[in-house]
Amino acid sequence: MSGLSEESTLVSGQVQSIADYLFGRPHSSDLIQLNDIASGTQIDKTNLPRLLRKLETKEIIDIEGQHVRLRGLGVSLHEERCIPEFVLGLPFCLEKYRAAVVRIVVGKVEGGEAAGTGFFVTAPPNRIITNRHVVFRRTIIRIENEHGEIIATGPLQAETGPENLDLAAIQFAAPPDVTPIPIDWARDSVRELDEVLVLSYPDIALTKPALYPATGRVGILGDLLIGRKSLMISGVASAGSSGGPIISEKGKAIAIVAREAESREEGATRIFVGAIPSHYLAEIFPPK
Amino acid sequence: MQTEIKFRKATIVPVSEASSLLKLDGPLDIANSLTFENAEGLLKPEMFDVWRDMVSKRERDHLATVRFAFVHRFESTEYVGREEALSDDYAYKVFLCLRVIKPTKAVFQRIQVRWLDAEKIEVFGFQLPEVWPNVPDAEVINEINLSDLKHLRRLLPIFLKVALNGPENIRHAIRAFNVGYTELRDPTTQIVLWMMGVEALFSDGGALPLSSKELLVRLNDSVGLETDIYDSSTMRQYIGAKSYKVGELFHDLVTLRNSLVHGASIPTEWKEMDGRHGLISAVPYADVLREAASFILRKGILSYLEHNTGTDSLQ
Repeated sequence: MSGLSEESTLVSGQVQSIADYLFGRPHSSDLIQLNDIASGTQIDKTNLPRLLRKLETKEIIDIEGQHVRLRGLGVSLHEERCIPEFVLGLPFCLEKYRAAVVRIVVGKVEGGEAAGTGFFVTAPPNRIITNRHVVFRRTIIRIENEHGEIIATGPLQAETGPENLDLAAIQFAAPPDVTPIPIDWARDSVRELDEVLVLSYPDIALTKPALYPATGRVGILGDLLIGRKSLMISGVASAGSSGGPIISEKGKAIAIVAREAESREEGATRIFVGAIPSHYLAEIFPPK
Repeated sequence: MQTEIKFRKATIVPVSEASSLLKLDGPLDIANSLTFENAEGLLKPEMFDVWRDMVSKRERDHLATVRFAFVHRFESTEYVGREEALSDDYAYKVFLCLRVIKPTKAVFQRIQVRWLDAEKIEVFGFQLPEVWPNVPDAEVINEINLSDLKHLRRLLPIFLKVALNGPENIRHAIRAFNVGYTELRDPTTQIVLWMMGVEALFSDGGALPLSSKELLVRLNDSVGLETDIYDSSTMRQYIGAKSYKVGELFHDLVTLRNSLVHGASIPTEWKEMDGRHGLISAVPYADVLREAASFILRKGILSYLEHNTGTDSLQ
């Protein structure tokens, strides 16, 4: 269920073991001996300090001599089950989740084909999230993976939200080799200047469609007059197509790409990505 | 088939402005899975030790001295995910409904915990408190008592229904009321925003603006022109016998709002004129009008909720 290399699988597993040992069980104090961690996780003593330093760099723990002191961020991240993603960073998230991002080819009303991006999510199960405008009043012809292979052919059912919410979900089960992306449902999960990963299939003339990963930063988190929040990602290297996930350092989809804009200043092109925060998916999937 | 593991968790919202006279025999049920309870034994200073890099010792100690809190218990089928976000959202709406019933200088703060065993709990997330609101003078000594909590129990179902489904003009009014407390420090902007809320509230979703005559009719039906804006205020005992009727203040309030939205400042005579006795000194008339704006909007919202609560109530 993962596109991870053996090395990444091993390292992320070790980081998770350390996290489970440190944060997943009660300790008599928040100061824990390195020897206890080594015996509790079965990670060899030469490798353990290197991994612990990674956690320290991310301010999840403090290393104090032969002890580790727990920090609140670690408690919170462990509860979110995302310490490996947070520690190993966006390149790890890319490796883990790239197979979950698909290209959706639709038939236009006026004839011809168009395409958008979508991504499999952990919950609700068997759903591909995309934009409403990608699928609304259009026929889904096929869904392709990052290798251009067809993983589904239409017609497929899509659930859409209200007219002023550009989100939709296609019902289709994720293939076994795909790790679906968890949605971040929290309303306060996005912070300005957070680094994010943007995944999509941009339309580039004379070029075969391909998954394009880019990083950016949360530029503006604004409030619209209609009462919704809007999200702008800046610093993205290239525009992608609608419906792609915006993945946080926690390895969760915090938003969905809605549109891109370019501005030209003194010969340089800057690209902004407008996105819809993920918690608005609740309008398509109301709580039970 | 794999068995789904469920975790016992709760969202705790401290109620810092609870009455010092308030005593509870046990948790008070407010709604399904939601109680108001004595939190003294629930939160302990050492629970916040791992958060030392994010929260000062003083703040950590303060968190552990919380006497009363709302506690929303829930089960989570996964690590932090949708259930936690839903509980957080629900807790915020409960806090907001209580603010409509009785505004205090309390700020919203959320602490999420999980039970490690039958007794022991662990804090896995919390939000630092917002900046203290600039509450009108008449509300600064308000405290939450048992009657307010019973009122909350009665109105919460309809409040949640309105928050989810509208009507849109009522949601607009509630939003204006709340934003005036949570996001605005400037009193002139508060007056303008609360008056926007008043007009939205009485519009019944129809065309705006309402004529002055129509506005007064609806204001009378909902709040009552003879109602004294300090009748239910803790401050009433310090104000003296003089009454401050809604109908007598509303005309000046509209005049003030109109001045402010067109860029004029508060008329000098209203800045200098004593409006009423206060705890420390006289409160200027312009501030009495700000208190009137908050009161009218709040009472109007409450009137709507009361009128529509019907069978939604738990009681």
